[in-house]
Amino acid sequence: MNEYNLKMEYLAISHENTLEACNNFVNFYLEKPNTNLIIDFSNCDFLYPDYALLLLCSIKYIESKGHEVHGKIKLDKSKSIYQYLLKMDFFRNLKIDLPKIEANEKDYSFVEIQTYNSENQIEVQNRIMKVLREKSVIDDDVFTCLDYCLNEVLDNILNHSKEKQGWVVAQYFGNLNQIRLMVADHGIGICKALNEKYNFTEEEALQNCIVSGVTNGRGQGHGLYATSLFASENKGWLSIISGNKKLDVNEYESKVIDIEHWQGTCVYLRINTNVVVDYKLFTDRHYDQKEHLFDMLFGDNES
Amino acid sequence: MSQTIQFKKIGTSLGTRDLGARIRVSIQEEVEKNDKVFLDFQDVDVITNSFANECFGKLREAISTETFRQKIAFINTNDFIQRVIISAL
Repeated sequence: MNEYNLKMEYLAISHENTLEACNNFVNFYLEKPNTNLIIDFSNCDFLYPDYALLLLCSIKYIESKGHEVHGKIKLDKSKSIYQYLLKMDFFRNLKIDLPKIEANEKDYSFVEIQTYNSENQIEVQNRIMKVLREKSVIDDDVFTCLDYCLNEVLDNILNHSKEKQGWVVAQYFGNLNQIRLMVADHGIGICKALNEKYNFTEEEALQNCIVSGVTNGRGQGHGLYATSLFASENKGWLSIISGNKKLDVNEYESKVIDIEHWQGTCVYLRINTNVVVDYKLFTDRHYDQKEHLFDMLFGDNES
Repeated sequence: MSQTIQFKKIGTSLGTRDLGARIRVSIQEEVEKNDKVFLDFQDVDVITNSFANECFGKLREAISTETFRQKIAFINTNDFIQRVIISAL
């Protein structure tokens, strides 16, 4: 039987490394389904939750193609990363039966790796925002911006991917005043979704998906536009991964780079809870244009 | 006759198109039965454009702008929600 060794030490370096490792593994496994997968945590003492999610998603993608992924995990149970992955439900999602660590809910600064769909989307959203409200000292406007953007990102996956579910994980890092979150799917991807209306290349699709008003007609083209402005102004980071391209948005630039293939779409967001952003940044435009509606809708309306 | 729909009973953060579509149907039913329908956002913090467009934008298309103007009233909206509603209409 073939063996495929996934070196987590390499994978844990960057999103690009993770995407490359996952793509190589997926291609190998689909070609040789009887392969034994070895997930090797030697020399890997730390893993961001979004990297773990990408790996899990890749394994689930192979399973969605009708293959059973089997193998073993090389991991020293005395290491803290074992406890961490256990808490993040990494093993449970791989259907590895290990006793769950019972932690007091108030100690949680994360929302475990999990699937979501239209049934539990609001619950997942509320859990992530609850972590922030309880664990961080966060400006009200930043909270509002994140609440808005996360809602839009979670909804985008379900509305445009042609998949019924997505994957999500989030963690607040108190020492950094940062929240990292990732939402991913194995759907049709951004280029195909936008090309129901446009004729974009993959690169053009990623450049345009954050432009106000660009939509395939099933939305307003405002969610990713607002999210990109928010991440940039917040000095945070937004990555949108789809097909063979990755769009990175930060305070300095917005650029598309080549990556190994990711079937579907993946949105990564890193937000600084202590950097204030005014939500008027992405709500002003239409507001100014349609100010004449204001009195009609909100004026003199006492019940 | 008037009716008030309290959005806080649905949630404090309203973000999905699916939810927007379901609430739109409820509002439309109330519009048919009442002279005025008050949409009360007391204790609601955030709504998204997706939700607002699906709920209020499509409601306006369905019942006509004139009926919308006469029968729908938004109350207790915070500044953020007002902005989103305006951009979604």
